Amino acid sequence: MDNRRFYYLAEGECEEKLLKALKVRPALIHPGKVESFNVIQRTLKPNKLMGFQPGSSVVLVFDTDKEETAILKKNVELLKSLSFRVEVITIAQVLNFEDEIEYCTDVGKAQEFTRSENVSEFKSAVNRMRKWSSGWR
Amino acid sequence: MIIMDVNLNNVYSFDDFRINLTYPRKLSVSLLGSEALEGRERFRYKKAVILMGANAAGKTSLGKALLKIFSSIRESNEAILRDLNSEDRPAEFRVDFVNEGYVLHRFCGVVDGENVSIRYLSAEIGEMDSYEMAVEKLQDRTEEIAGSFKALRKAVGQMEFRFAYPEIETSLRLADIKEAALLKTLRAVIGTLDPSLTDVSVARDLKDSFVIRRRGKEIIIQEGKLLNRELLSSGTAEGIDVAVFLASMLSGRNSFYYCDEHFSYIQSDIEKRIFGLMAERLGKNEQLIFTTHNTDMLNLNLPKHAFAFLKKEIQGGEYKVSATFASDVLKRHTDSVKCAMENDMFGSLPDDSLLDDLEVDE
Repeated sequence: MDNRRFYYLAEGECEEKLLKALKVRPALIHPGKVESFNVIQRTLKPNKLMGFQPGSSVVLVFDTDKEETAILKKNVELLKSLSFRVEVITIAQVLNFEDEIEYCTDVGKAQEFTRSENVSEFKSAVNRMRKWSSGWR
Repeated sequence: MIIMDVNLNNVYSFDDFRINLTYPRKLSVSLLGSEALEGRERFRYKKAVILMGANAAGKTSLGKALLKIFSSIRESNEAILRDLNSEDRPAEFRVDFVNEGYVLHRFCGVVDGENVSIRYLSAEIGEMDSYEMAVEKLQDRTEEIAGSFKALRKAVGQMEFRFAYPEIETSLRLADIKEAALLKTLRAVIGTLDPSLTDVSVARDLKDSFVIRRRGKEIIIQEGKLLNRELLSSGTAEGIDVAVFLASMLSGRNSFYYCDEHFSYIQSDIEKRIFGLMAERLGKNEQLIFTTHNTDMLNLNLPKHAFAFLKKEIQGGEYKVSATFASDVLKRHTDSVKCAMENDMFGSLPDDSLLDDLEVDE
């Protein structure tokens, strides 16, 4: 087992649930603590950073369609300044979440995935899902 | 208030004991921010200290000794010191601290039964002074105070501190805590410990009272006393004490905090996060000593001088307690404090050999 610690900071609840599923099945990402934290809009504070073990990897998950990146840059610089073994890896999402579902499954529209009326209901349904892995059969 | 150095002799379990809360070199990066007296950049002090040690090593006793010493000044009451000694010989203490302004105070005392004799020294802290340089300048002002605790209190100034121990908090001290801050903190801490407890509100009919509701049941914190404690899990009940302590830091009325083992029933990650919130709330010229048994706290991203270990060992036929900081032993930035503790580099691991007698014979 790789004993490195990983922390995933996802932009929103949907991304958080997806990451939590991906680390379990189909185990595409390294296991780690996942939480919802918008690194584009919020600055990482000391009380949270104290809990990041030196030598850990911090993975920032956010959409690339963001124009304001000043806070993101500040967060990246702060993480890099704390411990020379902290790695910051940004995973840029090209499509929005609904487009990603349509791309990687056989549904025509994302809301078909959850039998929702529209995109808004689809997002609510995803957030209500207790066991995301049941959708990966 | 900032404590710089403590010496205790025959005080509770402490004999020939010293703990120093200064550090020599400025750090380039620290999540604790500035650890120096504001306006005196070379007068460095350990802002937040995580204090660990085996059972009965003295973590609680140290706090109790400090509480009595500082309370005797704040209350102008020498009687508070009268039970400090543990045997039939005098107790002696010496504490260096900074309170208001740029003055280093040294308060020394000898307690022999009913007799308490004190000495008081002070020094102005110059702009380029370190703690050691200020100590060199200490001047004896014992004659000025003439043994009077009232005069001592006047010389030292208004003292603000908060000590919290699990076994003492039979009632919660809500005085001087802003109601809005406490309500916000209660909601966040209790909601984290028990997500089913989302309804926390002020009790309108009672003074200093709060109501926590869950599925038709009410848990009441009335005038500082927690009622219906049996309705809460141990961790959540403990969480209320923690919330009160954290809210008191938000209120900014105290500047020295001693939080003694308030997280025995609380999950490790939550303890680490709440410690982080406490440390973040420390303002200028404030200090926190936080005792715990949770070794996960040693993984926190903090300077090495923030971790202290008490060990109790036999010296000359008697048990003596000593303090070691991780920075005294570990010199490289990459050294793991937790790994060093587990390898007993600080000598703080307990001796469990007596438990060998309980092994099942084959």
